Amino acid sequence: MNNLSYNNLEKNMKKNDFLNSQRLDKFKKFLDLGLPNKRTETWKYFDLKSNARNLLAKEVKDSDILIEDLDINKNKYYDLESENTSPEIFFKLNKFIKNESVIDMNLACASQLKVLDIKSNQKKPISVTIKCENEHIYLPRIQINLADGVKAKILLKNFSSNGFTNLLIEYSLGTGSFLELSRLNQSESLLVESNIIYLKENSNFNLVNLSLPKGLSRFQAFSNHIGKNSFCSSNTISIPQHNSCDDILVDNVLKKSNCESNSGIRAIVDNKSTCSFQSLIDVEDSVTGSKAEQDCKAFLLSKDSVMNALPKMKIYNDNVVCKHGATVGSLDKQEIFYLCSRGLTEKKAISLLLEGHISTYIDKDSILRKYLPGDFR
Amino acid sequence: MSKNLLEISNLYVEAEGKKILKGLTLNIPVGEVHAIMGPNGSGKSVLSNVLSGKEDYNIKSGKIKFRGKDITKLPPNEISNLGLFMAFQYPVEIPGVTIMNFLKTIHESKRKANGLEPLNPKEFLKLVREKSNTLGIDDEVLKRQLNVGFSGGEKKRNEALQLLVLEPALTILDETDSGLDVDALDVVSAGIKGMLNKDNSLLIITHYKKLLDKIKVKKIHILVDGQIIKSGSYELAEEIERAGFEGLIK
Repeated sequence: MNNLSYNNLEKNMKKNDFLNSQRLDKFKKFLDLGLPNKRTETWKYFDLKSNARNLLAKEVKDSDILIEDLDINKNKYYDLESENTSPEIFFKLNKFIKNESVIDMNLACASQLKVLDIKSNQKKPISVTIKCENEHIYLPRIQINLADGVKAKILLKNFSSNGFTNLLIEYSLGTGSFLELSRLNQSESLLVESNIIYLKENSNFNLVNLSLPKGLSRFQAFSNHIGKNSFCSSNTISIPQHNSCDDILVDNVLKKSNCESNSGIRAIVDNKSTCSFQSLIDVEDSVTGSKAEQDCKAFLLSKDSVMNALPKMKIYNDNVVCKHGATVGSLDKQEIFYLCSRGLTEKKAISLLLEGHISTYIDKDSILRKYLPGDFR
Repeated sequence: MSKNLLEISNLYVEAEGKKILKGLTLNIPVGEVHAIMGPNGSGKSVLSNVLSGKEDYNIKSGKIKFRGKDITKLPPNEISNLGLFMAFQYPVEIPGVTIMNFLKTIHESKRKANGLEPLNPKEFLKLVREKSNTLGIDDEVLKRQLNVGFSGGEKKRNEALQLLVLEPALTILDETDSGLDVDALDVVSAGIKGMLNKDNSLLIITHYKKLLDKIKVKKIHILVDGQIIKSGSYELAEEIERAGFEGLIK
């Protein structure tokens, strides 16, 4: 990659705003590594550098971010620049992320700095819709803060159809707070979505991610358990559409005792599509009584479909329970025969098997159910 | 003489180039209970799979007629919808699909194939409750995923529940008695017996006579090396119990 493309990014970078010095620092870090390619260990299944090559010369534009069903009497959505906020607050959450040049790129060049402050309980899910529709670079950054003890649900939908989107969302969960996050990815473009999750004591982050990309999509989540008894669950249904690529990475860093962290995927990969699932459990040596689980199950429906599963564990304390499992294969002929022997056509039998595969994460009451492809609903 | 529900004539079947069934002929009349007994590897499970339409086998010659229709080359779903049900020796686990949802799906599918509207939810729930009570299965079990984490006995009870809900014309029990404890065997056999009437038939495939002590059979057929070598009444099972299959073959 030549520097000219990165120069374009620098040219488009906001200058002289209140984050100026931090931006320059992050851009320097970004330049040290550049965009990742397959030689970068955690990006081995997704060559961002090659895929972004032609797009880096494009203009940086604002994406459409639509917030609905927010109780504005109690909660608040605003542009950070309109508030008198110390820049340190905006860089506190991502301090534990190291050597992630894509995140550094966003931190340096983000053109949108949005904050969603949820200070009181919301029964109705808050809907966040993101659209990036032209051949530009989009660098939105959203910080979502849950106050202590607050319960909320968020439905986050990504409908990007063009260009290169490098989206960063930072979740800060206060003590005893609970966030139920449903994510829908229907992007058709080049998308990298990084999520940083900061969990205080007794907080609970529960993500169900329905990923149906039609382009090249990378979802990465970094959870940081800084409070004891915190819980983080990240479950993905991945059904890449039309020969596309869905790359999922979930890193869980357990820094305090008695935390629990689960990450799983149920993938259905057809045609020439590729799905990858990397998951890390990182338990520091002083941490005791924690539990963590990684679980990957994938069905390959064609001979050209690919599934990569890479579970990783870094456990430095003996008093921890960790499990991991990965099953990748085609549909079981005996299971199909069993269902057909009960009167179901082969098509219906396959559909029931896949529906069952999905139902382990998206049940009939899930807000995401209506977005499933018709065959699986 | 009753009309035959199932007619197998001179059936030759191979699997992976190996001859398994070698000219098997067997008739099961309507309203009768028959049993097939035989040593390991005699072809009992292959026969039940072939009757259910499993495609892994090469039917070299012969014919299978069920309710007067040639089913030799029919796919499993069409055979099932004609009214043939096989209770599997090793029922598979289907994650994410609850028993209740599965029963509803297969019941609707069968009714649709027979030109009938599905039962309304209330009627269907009543039907399932009635059948599950017969087998001592409580409502909580119906919410579980199909066979996932079930014991061998629970799986067999679940097979029996499906057959009671579908009310097939011919049921094949493929070693249903294996993996069942004494009490479970009592419950399952009582449930199956309660279903029997003059219009349906039962074929029990087994190694042992314990299930035949619970369900009265009209005829027992001894299958050895892909052929029925002897047919007779219940006394044949007692003879096997005494002398073993080896004694009978000699």
